[in-house]
Amino acid sequence: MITQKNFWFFFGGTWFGVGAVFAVIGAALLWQQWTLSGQLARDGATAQGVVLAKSMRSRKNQEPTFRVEYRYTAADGAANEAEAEVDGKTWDSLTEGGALTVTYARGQPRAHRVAGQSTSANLVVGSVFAGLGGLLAISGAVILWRARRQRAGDAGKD
Amino acid sequence: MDRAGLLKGALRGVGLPAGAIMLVAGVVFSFGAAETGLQYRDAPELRGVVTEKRLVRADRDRNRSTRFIARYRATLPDGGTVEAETSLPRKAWEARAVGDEIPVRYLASERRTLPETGSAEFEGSVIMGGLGAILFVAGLLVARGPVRRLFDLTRLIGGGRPATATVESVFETSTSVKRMIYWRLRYRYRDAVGRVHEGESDLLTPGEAGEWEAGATGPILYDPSRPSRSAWLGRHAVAPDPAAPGLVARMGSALMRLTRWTVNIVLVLAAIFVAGVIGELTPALKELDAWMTGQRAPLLYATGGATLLGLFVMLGALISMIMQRGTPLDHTGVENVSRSVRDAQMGPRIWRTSTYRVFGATGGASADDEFSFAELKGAFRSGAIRREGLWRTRLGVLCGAALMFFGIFGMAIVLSPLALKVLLAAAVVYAVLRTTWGFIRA
Repeated sequence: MITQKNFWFFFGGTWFGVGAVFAVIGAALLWQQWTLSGQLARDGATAQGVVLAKSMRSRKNQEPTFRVEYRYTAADGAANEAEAEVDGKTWDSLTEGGALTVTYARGQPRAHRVAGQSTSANLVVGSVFAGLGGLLAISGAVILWRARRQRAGDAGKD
Repeated sequence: MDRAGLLKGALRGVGLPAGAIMLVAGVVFSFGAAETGLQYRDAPELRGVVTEKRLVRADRDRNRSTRFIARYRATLPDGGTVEAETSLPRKAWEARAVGDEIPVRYLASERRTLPETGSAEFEGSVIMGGLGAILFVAGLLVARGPVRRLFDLTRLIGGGRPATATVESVFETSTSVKRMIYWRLRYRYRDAVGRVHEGESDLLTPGEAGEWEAGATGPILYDPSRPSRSAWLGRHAVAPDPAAPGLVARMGSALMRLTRWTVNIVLVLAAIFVAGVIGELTPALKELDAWMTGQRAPLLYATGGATLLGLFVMLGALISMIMQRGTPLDHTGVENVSRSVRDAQMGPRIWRTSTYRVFGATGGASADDEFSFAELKGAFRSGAIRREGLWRTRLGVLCGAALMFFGIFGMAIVLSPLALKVLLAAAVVYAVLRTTWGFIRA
């Protein structure tokens, strides 16, 4: 039961919990992007893929997003189908049935990137989640710490 | 007796309009789905042969997604042939080759083929049909109570027996129309054989409810064949005042309100136009707009972050205030809070009625606070703003609200076109100047 005495514990705890979840999700997204870049730089192989379909979506007051669906065959012979967001210039240069270059990790052919793929969306989402989540978690932790100190002070007086 | 007034009182609330809207929507949706169903029933299934496969490439102008088209030919029962095209999902298109057989439904009356039963169009019709049936049944359930009440009232007006009832309680409900909360009263009466019954009035305006209190007696009508059914007459017991504004006067007043509303809209449009002209004629503003478009992402992080932080600070301060000075809320109070929050989330509307029910146990607290600029200045001068918890909380609410205000307007300015940017910035400057001026003069 929330009472006046333990209110700041609940309040700080709630913000700390919510913030921590957001921060962890953001950090995981950033970590995934970072490790994929490293994996491709260390142990990447290239393959020619085929563009299957293209689409663009524009929303009011926002930059349009460009997507391509493609199929590529890695060295192990397995065909993979995937979809990626690319920049406008790359989207214009690709045609359905035409080729595109895919860089994949040798040990893990499904981990890949295509030339012109925009990674900024994931980075932005990861940064926003990690930044705001971190801010909320720190604020919650400070409130929790102060509430704990105040309770210790009150107990000392009693 | 004011029969029209009595019947009108029974129509207050959400039941009838909500039920009517759901019934109409249900009929429209079901009708569309039924029409599609009949078409499928009437269209015989033929065997078609894929004659051509092609794809329409995506571009930035008209065709923003790659489309996968299959053309097929089918032989009709009378020996003729029909050719048609269909747009398929990529995988279904890839799975079919020229010369493959596919099932085709041909609607002879309209000389066209119908989409495949697994297609998005067909599934859309099925979903609409289901939704229509649900809405229709829900509409019937919602409207049933008010309609039954109208029948009861009509019977009572025609052959009800007058009696006097004693008011037991007058209470607020969780129903409101145009933000005016309605009330009801509960009463007790005796029928012709002396049996005691209880009844509840239809929804009353605050003015109507204010005329009564527990223990007062007032006129009712009850049904002699079913004495438990009754109607509180209240001010409708007497004939309507002939001096009250008539239909023409009420229409004139409504017309005036409409005119004022139109003038306001015209003024807003004129302000947007003037702001647009100012923006176009000032090169510096155009450059600023271009810079903001280029820096949209970081600017949105800053303004969005300020909004969230403001919300966080303000919520904390408000909850702290409620914890310190709040009074408990009863069940209706909790329902009213729920309603007011949802009412506030609604967009612009001409007319709105709402009622919210919370089932099960509820708990809540409410607190209110007000202070003047002069008191705030006094608190700053005396140092109370640092020493006293109440002033610290008030400062928290103020700072949070200010952050949210700048954050929300900032986001709107970043996202809107130049004319609106100018207008919104002018609104922010005006609000800041007026607030500062008010603070200085207090």
